Amino acid sequence: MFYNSSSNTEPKMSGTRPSIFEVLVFCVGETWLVIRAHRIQRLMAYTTAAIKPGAPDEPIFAGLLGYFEPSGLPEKKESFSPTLSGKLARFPVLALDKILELPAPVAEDAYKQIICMEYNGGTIGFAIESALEIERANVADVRVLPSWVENSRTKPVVWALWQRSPDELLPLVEPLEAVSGEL
Amino acid sequence: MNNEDILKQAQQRESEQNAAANRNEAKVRLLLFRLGEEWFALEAQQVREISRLGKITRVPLTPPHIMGVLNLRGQITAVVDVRPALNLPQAPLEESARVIVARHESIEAGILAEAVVEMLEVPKSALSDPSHAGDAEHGKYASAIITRKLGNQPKEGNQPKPEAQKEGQKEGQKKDKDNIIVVLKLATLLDALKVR
Repeated sequence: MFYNSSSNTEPKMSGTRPSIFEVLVFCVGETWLVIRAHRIQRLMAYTTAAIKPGAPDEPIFAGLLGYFEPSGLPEKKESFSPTLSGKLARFPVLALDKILELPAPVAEDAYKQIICMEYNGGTIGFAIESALEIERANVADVRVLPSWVENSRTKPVVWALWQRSPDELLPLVEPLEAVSGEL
Repeated sequence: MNNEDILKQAQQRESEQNAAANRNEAKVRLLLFRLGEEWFALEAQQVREISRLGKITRVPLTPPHIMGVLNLRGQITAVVDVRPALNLPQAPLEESARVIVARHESIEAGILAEAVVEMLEVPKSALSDPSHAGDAEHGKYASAIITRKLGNQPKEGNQPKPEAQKEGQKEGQKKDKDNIIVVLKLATLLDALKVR
């Protein structure tokens, strides 16, 4: 399906399958990663005040930082910048570096943004350090992971590599695949 | 011709015969590299290329010995740090560090080397039983060992200072002793390091 690492032949795109898709390039755990943009509901600022710890009977997610509470946000709307409009409701926020087993940020205020995604009919947030703009990726620049590093843990979460430039490879991740638990 | 001449002639003949035997003996080419203070080798036929570290992309959810992936002219190759498997300290990497891209059957991986030293050609008879490899971990991944006098390669950018000359002379004495080079069993090593 994608440009295979064991071959230097570019794939032929068949039918009406789009050859371009949108991605968000972001940084977490000192690592630059890419996520497909179509499942992102919004990208918003991470404010400690808005993240409240969950009650003891709350479902437990690995890497749970707390629950986003709209009431915790300051009145000024400029304090966050959603990429999509929509009503803000309470949702869990997870540390993506922990989920992806990346180095934990050294600074306490390392998390600057939250990637909000649809999950089980609700929203789930992933705290990240920074994000660039949405970029357009060509399917021909998507490369499969070497079979050597691929296993049942990496495969669904890190599903490919995006060759952003001749000497830059970025892992394409699907963090929802690493989440288990009820909202 | 006196007895001494006869003896000399016999010795010369024997020496020529030994040299001829060596020329005819099957040889093996080895790529010699350094990890920490230890010397290792891979069979040259298993080595596809040697590359600088370049830009390694870390892959989430992989174990620490997987350093990441490297794009080598379009070929995406996993790079592994074999030092933990060989029970060696993970010292910071210097300019001399290289990736040895090695292949065994369908498995290909980049193996980290702190320095790649030279290509050796040795007669097969020079390869000894790996059970003599000092460290148990080395023995596990060794197909053979060879002993050879090696110059202690100074690390790049770390040339000895004049005041260290005396120390250097002591080091010089060490250079004259035989070093043990562990020839790695690539298949076993790669199999142990593969992500499962």
